[in-house]
Amino acid sequence: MNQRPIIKVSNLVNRFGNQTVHEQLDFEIFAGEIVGIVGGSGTGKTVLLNSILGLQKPSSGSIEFYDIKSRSLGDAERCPTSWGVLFQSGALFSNLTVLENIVTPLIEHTKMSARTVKELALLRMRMVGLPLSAQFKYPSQLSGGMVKRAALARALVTDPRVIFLDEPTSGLDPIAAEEFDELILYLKQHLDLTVVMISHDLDSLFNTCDRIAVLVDKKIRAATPDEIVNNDHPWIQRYFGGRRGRLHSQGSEAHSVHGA
Amino acid sequence: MISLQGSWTTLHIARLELAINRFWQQISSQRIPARCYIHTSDVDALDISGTLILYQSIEFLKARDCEVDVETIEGDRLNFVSELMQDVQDADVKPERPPNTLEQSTAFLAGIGHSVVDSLTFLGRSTLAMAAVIPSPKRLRFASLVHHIEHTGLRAMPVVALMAFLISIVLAYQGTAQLSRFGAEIFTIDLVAISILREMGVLLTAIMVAGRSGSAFAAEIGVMKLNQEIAAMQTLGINPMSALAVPRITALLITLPMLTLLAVLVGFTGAAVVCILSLDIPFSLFMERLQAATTLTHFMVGMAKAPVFAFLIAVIGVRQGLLVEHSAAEVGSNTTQAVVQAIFAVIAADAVFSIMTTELGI
Repeated sequence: MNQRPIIKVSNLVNRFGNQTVHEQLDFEIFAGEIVGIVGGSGTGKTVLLNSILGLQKPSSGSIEFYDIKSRSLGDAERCPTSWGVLFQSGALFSNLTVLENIVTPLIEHTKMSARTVKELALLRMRMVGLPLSAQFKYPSQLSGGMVKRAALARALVTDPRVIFLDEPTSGLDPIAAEEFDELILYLKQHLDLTVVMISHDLDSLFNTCDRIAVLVDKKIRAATPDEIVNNDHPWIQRYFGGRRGRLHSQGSEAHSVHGA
Repeated sequence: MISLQGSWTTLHIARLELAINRFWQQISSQRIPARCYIHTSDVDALDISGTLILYQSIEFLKARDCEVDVETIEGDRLNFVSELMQDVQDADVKPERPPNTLEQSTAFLAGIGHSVVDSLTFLGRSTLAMAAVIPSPKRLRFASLVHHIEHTGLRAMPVVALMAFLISIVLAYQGTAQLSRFGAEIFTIDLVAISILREMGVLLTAIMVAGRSGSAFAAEIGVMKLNQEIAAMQTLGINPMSALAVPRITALLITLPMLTLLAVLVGFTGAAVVCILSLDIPFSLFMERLQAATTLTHFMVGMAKAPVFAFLIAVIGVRQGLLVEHSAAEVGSNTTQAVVQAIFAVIAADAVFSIMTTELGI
């Protein structure tokens, strides 16, 4: 794998009142990889994501970007075509239709022709598996899974270099979740996309991730899936050592579990 | 052979389109060849957007009977895009036909009818929920009631007082300006006192409360509805009417009369200030005239309206909040509706009171 960092978080500290969420956290994201962030509830996965995205000012520490235009801390300038974000609840604009939601970043930041804008949006809708009939619907008329897909289409429409996914497969049925994994793998392989995803879906994590970063003890421990399963930290052991985790580490033997 | 160069990425699409259009114009002046080969290995960067532009160009050539061969692109992107675009072009999806004027106006009138019936139903449900508390006062949520009394009453005091003070000054000056023509400046006191007691004190306070608290009720409950909190209450066996509507209605029933009393007292103060500073009427004379002009009836007529207005404002605010169904935009529009309807209802009720008191000779 190419070990060129694209985002480098160093000495990150996040405090809320007297509660410390991150303490001297270091984390590197490499170009072209899929990295999954896992951690217990309240360990600050979303806070970490928001710090990287610049939505939240960290108490201290630095976040550096290489090779993608983006904002340094405190700088209001940002280049949204370099990254896409899929928020946990979709965060579609509720007063716009699905199509209008997807074209918003294109209309805001480029001057391409109306036909191309529309075709690009419809292309993304097909890419994420949304029926084209959904384009005129408002977010409130969509099911949870469709909201996720529409939000992903909006995040992908500018061809970002990095995409951040906050629990992308939660609320999707297993078939849709697997399709989602395939889409992510395709994008990574062919478009050189870097993917950062927060997920609790072990299937999804083991199917797609090159590295898994675990938030424990206010720090990140990142390693390949095989290594992380063998990590001796008790929380990591419990997280991946459960029945569902074992299914994956045993690989093909997993099928015999059903027969037993 | 056509050779592609440069960056075919989202940010460059606009310039790319211009260049391609120019290129087509050059080409079409000549003859379009029957066969062409597109050379892609000189392209610096090609993303999905760029691939779509390439796809559009290929379709353009194919539509003009040109056989197109494309150099293989890494990742088979072109096939990926063309398969998806095939779906897009095959599908013929049209938005629903927007309703015509007749349908729109029928729907509009039906909507009004429906909303009148619905409002009356809701008024009835609120009354029942309120009545249910009377035999068992323990069911009144005391903590919630106190919270709403603080927010609708205590915190509204400064603004209501200031408003009453200013309005009484306006009334006093306008009254003097007219009455001095007849040499009857002294009756300014009667004018201000009676109009504040019977109308201005309660009406303006109610309008202020409708804008302050009616809107707050609608927005609060609307957001709770979006957040599925109301649904959660129902599954937990809590009646939203008794948990949300009753404390708010009760709070306004208590605070609006008190705010009205405050408005009346501050209004009198304002009138006294104008009389003393600007009309040279001594304070003792002002008090004498005030006592002669005001009767308990005037006071009671004003105060009797306050609970009625309070009930209307609270019920309308709560109803508009509960009407929110889908989107954040509805919270905004229903909050506006709550204020508009509440102020309208207050003024309409005030008109009814005026007719009643006149007919009854009070």
